[in-house]
Amino acid sequence: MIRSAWIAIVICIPYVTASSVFATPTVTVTPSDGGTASVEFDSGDAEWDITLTRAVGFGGDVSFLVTAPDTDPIDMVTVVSGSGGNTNVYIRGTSPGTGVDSVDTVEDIGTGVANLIELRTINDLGEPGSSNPAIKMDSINTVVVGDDVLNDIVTTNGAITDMFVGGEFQGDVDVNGSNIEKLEVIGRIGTPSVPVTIDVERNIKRIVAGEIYADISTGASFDTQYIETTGAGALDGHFVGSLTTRILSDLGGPDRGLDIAGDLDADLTFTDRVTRPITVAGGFLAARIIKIAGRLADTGDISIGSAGLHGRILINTDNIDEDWLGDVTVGATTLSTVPYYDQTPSSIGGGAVGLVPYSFHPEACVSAHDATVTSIPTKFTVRH
Amino acid sequence: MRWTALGIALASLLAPPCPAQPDHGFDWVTIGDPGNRDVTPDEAPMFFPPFSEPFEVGGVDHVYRITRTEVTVSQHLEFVSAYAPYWDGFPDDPHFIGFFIQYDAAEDRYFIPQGFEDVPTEMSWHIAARLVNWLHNDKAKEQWAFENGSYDTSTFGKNDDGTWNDQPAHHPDAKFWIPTIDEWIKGMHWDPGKDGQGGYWKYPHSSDEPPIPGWPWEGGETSAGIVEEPGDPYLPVGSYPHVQSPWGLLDGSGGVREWTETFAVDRRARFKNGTAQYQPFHEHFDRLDVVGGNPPNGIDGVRLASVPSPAAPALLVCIAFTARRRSHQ
Repeated sequence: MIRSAWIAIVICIPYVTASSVFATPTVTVTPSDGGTASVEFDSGDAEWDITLTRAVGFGGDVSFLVTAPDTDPIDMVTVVSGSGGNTNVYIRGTSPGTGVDSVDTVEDIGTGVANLIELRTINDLGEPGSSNPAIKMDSINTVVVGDDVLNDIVTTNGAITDMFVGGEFQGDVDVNGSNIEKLEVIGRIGTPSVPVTIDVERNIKRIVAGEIYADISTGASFDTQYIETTGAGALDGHFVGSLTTRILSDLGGPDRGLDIAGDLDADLTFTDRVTRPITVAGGFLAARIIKIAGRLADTGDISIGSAGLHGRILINTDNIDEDWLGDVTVGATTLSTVPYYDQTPSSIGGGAVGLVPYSFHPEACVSAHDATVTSIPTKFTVRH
Repeated sequence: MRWTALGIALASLLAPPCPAQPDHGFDWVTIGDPGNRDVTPDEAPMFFPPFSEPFEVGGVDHVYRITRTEVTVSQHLEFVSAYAPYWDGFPDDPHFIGFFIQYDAAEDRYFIPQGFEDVPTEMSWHIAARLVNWLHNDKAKEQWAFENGSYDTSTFGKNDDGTWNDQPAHHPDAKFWIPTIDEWIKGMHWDPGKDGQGGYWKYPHSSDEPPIPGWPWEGGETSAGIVEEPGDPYLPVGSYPHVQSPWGLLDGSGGVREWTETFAVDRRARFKNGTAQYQPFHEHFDRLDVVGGNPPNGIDGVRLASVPSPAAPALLVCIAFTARRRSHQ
């Protein structure tokens, strides 16, 4: 039988600076000579501070496993990475699948590669009012937060692979060097009074939330696969803010593109094309623009609910001879015949869809095109 | 306990006939060798101190069936179409329909984009529970068929302290259920003939070394760990037909992460196992002694478990003889 290569050393209590009613977190370092850890109780915060230090000059990957009972709040987990290999961090409860009570910050201050492989909390991640990021590591693999995320999530050179938040997500997201693979939030991302920023250097694969109040962007040469609001529970499922990305794209899978359970109160800017559906169960609000530099592909149908299209959809804004191929449907009405559709703005909610170069909408003009007037008007309005 | 050949034959003859169980279009594998032992600290060090409080899993005292692969999008679609009249959430909610099924509001119907029928699907645990309820009730169309049978969905709900009130285990007479963590681990890792006496492989493809990431047409063994390039496909289930657990299960690594029935000890998460396509660090997450978990309102994949088929007694004979033959080699 192959003997496991895991050789561990347990660091239980280097020292405790104040009495504590909490059980001391345990740190297991693998291999045992790969690093050291200190665990201190901060009596001011009544929380634990943990420092994980990779051994200088150690060659190969080092893993730090932090386990604590679910009654243990952890303040800071400070990682000191270094050269020679990955420094991998795991923070969870004392049994598989369980979490610690909460964590305020997990941050790498070293010079090497530090990956957060697993983090589980039963309550919040982050600290109210703090300017520290909740997480700042090279990459974030699996994170399960029982309640809210209160501060920023930052990767310095890697993806967010699989993050689940049982409550609300109230920090900014800054992903450098890679993608958001899967971010699932049962509650809201941002709030109406405090929207957040989600800035991803590469692609957005999947974001699912009850509601979204955020300005979201990918890298200029990268795409978005799937963003959805569910409107679960008491939420309405609105998306408020903006999305800027190159292509609303399938990136290999037929995900549903942009799927909004409530109103779309956001500007959408696609610097190339739209190849996946945009579905809005509510309305597309006034003063908002969907701007597509190139084509609306035939796989990129846009459906707006019966609350109406109040904003504008602009296609081929780069004027590069691209086409309007996908259906645009408002309620039960599919605009036709494109691009010079018959339906007036007033019949679809007050908004309009235009393919560059624009033409005027004969019926929407005041007076209507070719209309016979019985008196000379003082003003003509030409609507495109 | 090692069964003798004579004991097996007598047990087969004397075993009460099992009621015929429909297959419902799933490819089932029977997992025998009931009474196998749990993992040991040598096999699963992460499940024992100093890494964890003792977590002794893998031993299963009964014969059961488990699907060879994860549930596919097309299998999911049939359920979605049947349950849709009773779903009161957003029609496109991925907790209900996953990420690939599409909803045509004009025609009020669900469909799959061509070419993605056999890709593994995902759903919430609560929806997976309704899926097995529906199978248990022979795919009856009425709402009652989705709400009990294997799991009583009236128990589903989150308590104020963050724990879940959900029924923790399937009804004893359930014909279909979500595999327990023991059943999943046994099906993926337990080999009755390993080292002549039975044991657990570290990885779910009958090996103590991690599967090699790569496309099947390039000789890869898992879709986990592949570095994605633009235009890369999502693979159907069973894309690595020669990469099998000791029982012939596929896709224990890669595809999608899979729900199990079993709650973590604090009842805040149901365990999930395996890895997803493109998931990094699969050499860690595919290990025998690494399990994940999500609250049951998360979104993940699933494979199914069932009672044995009527052919199980004869099959048990075959499995036991095979195991005995391995032990004497």
